[in-house]
Amino acid sequence: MITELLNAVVSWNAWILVFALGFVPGSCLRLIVKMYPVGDPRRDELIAELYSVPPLRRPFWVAEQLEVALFEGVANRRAVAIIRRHMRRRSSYAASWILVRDAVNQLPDIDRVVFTLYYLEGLDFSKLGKVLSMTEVEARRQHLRTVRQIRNEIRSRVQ
Amino acid sequence: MVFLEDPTSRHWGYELSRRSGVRSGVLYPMLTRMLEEGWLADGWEDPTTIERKRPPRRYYEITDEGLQALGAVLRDARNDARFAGLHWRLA
Repeated sequence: MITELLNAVVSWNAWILVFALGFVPGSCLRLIVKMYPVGDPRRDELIAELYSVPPLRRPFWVAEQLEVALFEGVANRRAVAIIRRHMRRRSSYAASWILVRDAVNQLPDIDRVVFTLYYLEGLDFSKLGKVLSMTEVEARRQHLRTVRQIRNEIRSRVQ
Repeated sequence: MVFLEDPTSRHWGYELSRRSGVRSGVLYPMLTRMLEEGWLADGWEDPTTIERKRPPRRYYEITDEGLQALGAVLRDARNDARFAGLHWRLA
């Protein structure tokens, strides 16, 4: 009896069983929870819940979590990535806007008026010409001059 | 149903899955939606109260809003012919 028991303990089957029920579910689950974005409470929740699951049921339970993580975790991670990308764009937009605003403040009055009316108020060239007592063609030329002035001012600040 | 049977207790993910008979693959997304609706509140176990060596678990509690909402869902289900064959455990 004792010999049989010792044989069973040292046999490969016993070690495979210990490995399959003890080590594999926990390790797989730790990999699975990585599908959730950093800071998602589900990461810690699932690892803590594994301790409540009976050992024989753990491989099946972990397989179910793979299903959840594929749909819920990957979707959450994608949503977080989209928001981060959006925030990066907004911050770079804000930085560009500050640069343009400071450059415009250094320009002569006529250029500031052209910039404000065309880019902020949304006037087209014919209306811009009427406000500035110019023809539409002259307003277009003035707009080009203003844009060049802004570009030169920004270049001088960035370099 | 589990939340309505025991509305004052804290419930854990695996325990909810076992008692309700809902697979955890379905249960966790449902819990997330109920949290977003304000039907449930969640929190973490106090680590000092844990006897075994394990990390603190996340618990779920039903809110007053959730009690009303789930009660209404249950009443509707009772009157729905599709669920007539179900045995209702709640009074």
